[in-house]
Amino acid sequence: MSLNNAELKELRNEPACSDNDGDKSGCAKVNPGATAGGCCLDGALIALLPITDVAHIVHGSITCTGSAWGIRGSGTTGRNFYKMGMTTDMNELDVIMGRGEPKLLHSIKQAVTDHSPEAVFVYETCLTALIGDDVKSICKVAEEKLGVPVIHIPAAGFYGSKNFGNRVGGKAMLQRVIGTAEPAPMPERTAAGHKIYNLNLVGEFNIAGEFWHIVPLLDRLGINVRGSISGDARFADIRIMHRADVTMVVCSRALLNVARGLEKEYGIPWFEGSFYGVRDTSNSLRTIASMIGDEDLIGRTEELIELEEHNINCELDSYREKLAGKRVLLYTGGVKSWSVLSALQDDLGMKVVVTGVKKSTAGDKQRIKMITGDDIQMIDNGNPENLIRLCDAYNADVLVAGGRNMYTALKARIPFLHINQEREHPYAGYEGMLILAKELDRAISNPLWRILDKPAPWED
Amino acid sequence: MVKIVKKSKPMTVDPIKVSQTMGATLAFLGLDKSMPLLHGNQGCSAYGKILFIRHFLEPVPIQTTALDHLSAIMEPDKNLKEAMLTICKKDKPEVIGVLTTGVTEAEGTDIKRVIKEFREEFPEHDDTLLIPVSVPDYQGCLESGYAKAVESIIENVIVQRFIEKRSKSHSNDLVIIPSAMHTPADIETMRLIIEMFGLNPIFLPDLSLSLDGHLSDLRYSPISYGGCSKTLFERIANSLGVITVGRSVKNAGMLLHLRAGIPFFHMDGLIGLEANDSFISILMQLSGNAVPEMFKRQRKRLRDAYLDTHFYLGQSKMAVASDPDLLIALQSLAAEIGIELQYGVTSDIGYSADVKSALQESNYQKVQEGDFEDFRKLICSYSVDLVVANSYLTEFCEEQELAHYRAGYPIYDRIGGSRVSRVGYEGTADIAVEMANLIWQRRPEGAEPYISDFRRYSGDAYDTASTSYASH
Repeated sequence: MSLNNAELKELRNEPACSDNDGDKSGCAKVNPGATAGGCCLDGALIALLPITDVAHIVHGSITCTGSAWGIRGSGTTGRNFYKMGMTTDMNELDVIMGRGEPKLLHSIKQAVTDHSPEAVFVYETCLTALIGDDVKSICKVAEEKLGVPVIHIPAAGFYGSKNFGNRVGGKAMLQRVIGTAEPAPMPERTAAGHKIYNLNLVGEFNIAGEFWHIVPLLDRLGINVRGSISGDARFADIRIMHRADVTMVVCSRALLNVARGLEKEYGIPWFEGSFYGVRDTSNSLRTIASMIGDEDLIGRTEELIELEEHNINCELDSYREKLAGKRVLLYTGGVKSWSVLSALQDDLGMKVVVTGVKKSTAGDKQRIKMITGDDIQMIDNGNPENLIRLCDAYNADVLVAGGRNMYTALKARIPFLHINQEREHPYAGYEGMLILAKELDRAISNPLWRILDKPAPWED
Repeated sequence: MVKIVKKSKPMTVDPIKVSQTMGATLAFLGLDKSMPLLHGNQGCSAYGKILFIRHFLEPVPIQTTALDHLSAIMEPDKNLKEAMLTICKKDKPEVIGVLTTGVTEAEGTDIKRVIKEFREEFPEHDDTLLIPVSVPDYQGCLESGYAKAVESIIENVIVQRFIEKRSKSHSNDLVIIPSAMHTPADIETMRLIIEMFGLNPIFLPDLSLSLDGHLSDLRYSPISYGGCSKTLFERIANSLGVITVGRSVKNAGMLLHLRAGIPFFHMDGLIGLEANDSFISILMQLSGNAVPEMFKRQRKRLRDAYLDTHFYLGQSKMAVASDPDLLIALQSLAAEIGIELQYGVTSDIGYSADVKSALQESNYQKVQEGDFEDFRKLICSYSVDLVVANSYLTEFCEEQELAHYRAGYPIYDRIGGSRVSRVGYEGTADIAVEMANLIWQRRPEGAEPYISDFRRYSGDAYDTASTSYASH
């Protein structure tokens, strides 16, 4: 196995995570027979796949890739290797005859020859870990032979949960990529004469291109996104993430190890924030400015927030009229359990009656309480039957959840909004809030809800 | 009430309208062993042939009285008689549709009189029905001409010949008059639905037997091969009911009801859940039979198709360019799934008071009588997500990256237009799914890409000279 016990233990220990010692950790063990989430490999891919110019090769049998390749909805301004499904597609003879290692070596060569990626990431899987393929050495050989960085991501599914996989991916970046190059020289000041600062993003995946709602704002403030794990990121961006002024952890507690590592090794301070909702977007921009600590930047940030909030509030007004008081059942993971909640309640005047906290940590729950008071039902059980029952019991007007639950809701005649990472709509930032409002209105106000259960002529 | 904007500009540019004469021709192409005869000059039929051949990918029989400049003025009747005689002798059709054109109507032709004289002069051809239809192309549009042809068949054949002989015996025949907006596949679908209730449908006319695109045993036929046979006309007079589908043919059904006392039902279309519920109700009532299980399944599937498509169709903005029937028929689907009907541009609004009032009561923001130039202008000034129009709008839709749902005459850039069924629960689901796919395909994927200023002025993010890429 490529991760030994000591390494596993070290990865499982995350001192910066407030839930490290709690009984309800974000990285809780899974229950056989009652699981619904992804595995460690899934988590590593979620964390790293959006890097646009890296060939991502999954070394394993076909299941790990075949069922769900190319579905990542991240936006890119560069290449889009993450939309390709690259796998060694191990077959029976490969396993029996020990051909996994040479097959992997040739696969890496094929990827480099055919597609000229900036780097190759090789993801280990359960099968190849189990049969003892020495993936790490193959990567090293390939790198020497081919002259392209080949990074081993030891993320076999059975090592742990999706959250754990995020960490494995993050750790690989810290150990093997970050700090391996220095930034190209850049001007000190913007054309407008403002000092330029550098921001790292961790856990931002540019879903449906939603971060493009934020980048223009940062440009106006003179803040350069130094590197991101991993929305619209280039391999080169990640190499220079050690030269930044501040790190923002966006909606992903599981990648805290990257932020912590950047702080410990390079002294870069970090904070957790969200770009969902008007209020959280403003707060995040404020925090970035105040952590950088430049008075001029802080002042300009306030001006920008005032202007943007004014503009978006004018546009949101018509939707607020339609959405105010509508009851929401929110079932999503982790940070979104409070960040989206705040967007729905504070920015749109909706009423979140139930929120899912299965993947939320004690800290997340604290924040939920801060937003709603005690007037909310927190639930762990997200099985479809329970969600429908709760929608009925709490008279919910809409279910806001991940794609897995979409058709469950629709079959039960419950309007639905897709919020998780496979979604098609960019909800981040001020503009994203408007799109969120539009999509909620579209879901709730459709006339079909009135005719779906109209009796058929033979039922009168 | 919707404001109807009448055509105001002098010149029509890129017409939506296909002539009334062509509509009547189409109706006769839905009768078996029939020949539409256009009383006009040669071009009148040649253009029509091009239209229908391109649309149906079928040989299309159309004849003409081939007036020249002299005969048009001096003795057009002679050409008409000669043409009828030639067709009767040479092609031996069962039916000839004698259709006027603009030029012969302006000249003041009296086709009824000419037909009467022909009957007296050539009694040996009494077996061939000669059905006069006055369809000058300076009035109406395709669907009004089609409707007039049906009305004439009812008035001049069914009523005159068979009403007196109407028997009291119980009939299982149900007459359906489908309007010109229906494809051969639409009619086939209606047939299946009705037969499932144990009734025997008779379609007047029946394009599903003629222009459905079938390979017959005949290697050549100068006349239509397939369609509503004239032997069915007597049974139409004795049928247990008539259902008209499409606003333009409502009068034809009314005529059968008033003149022959046949119970009459009208549907503006069979698109939409509630429209089909009504249709099924009528069939249950007329047949006395319970609903077949198949429709229960189809209705459930339609409801689910609505759910699956509502993310795309809900609050989408649609514009339609067509004859009025389709404009009217699409409303119920739109209302049920939340499509916003922006505007309809239609070829003609004046051909019937009934059609006009239906358009006035419609859910469109605006209905305008006009051409594709008007339609394109409207699209450019008021954004839409989905356009329903014939193939003439394809290029524009591609340029503008608009979702284009093809319907109407002609569709010439797709094979299989006559195979598309848009009626029934299934047809409705198919439309919803296709429209949703069209919108989905055109919808931008997420946010507009934005490249940071900083990325722009540093081509390479890192200093290549400083690279210290450490290998393990």
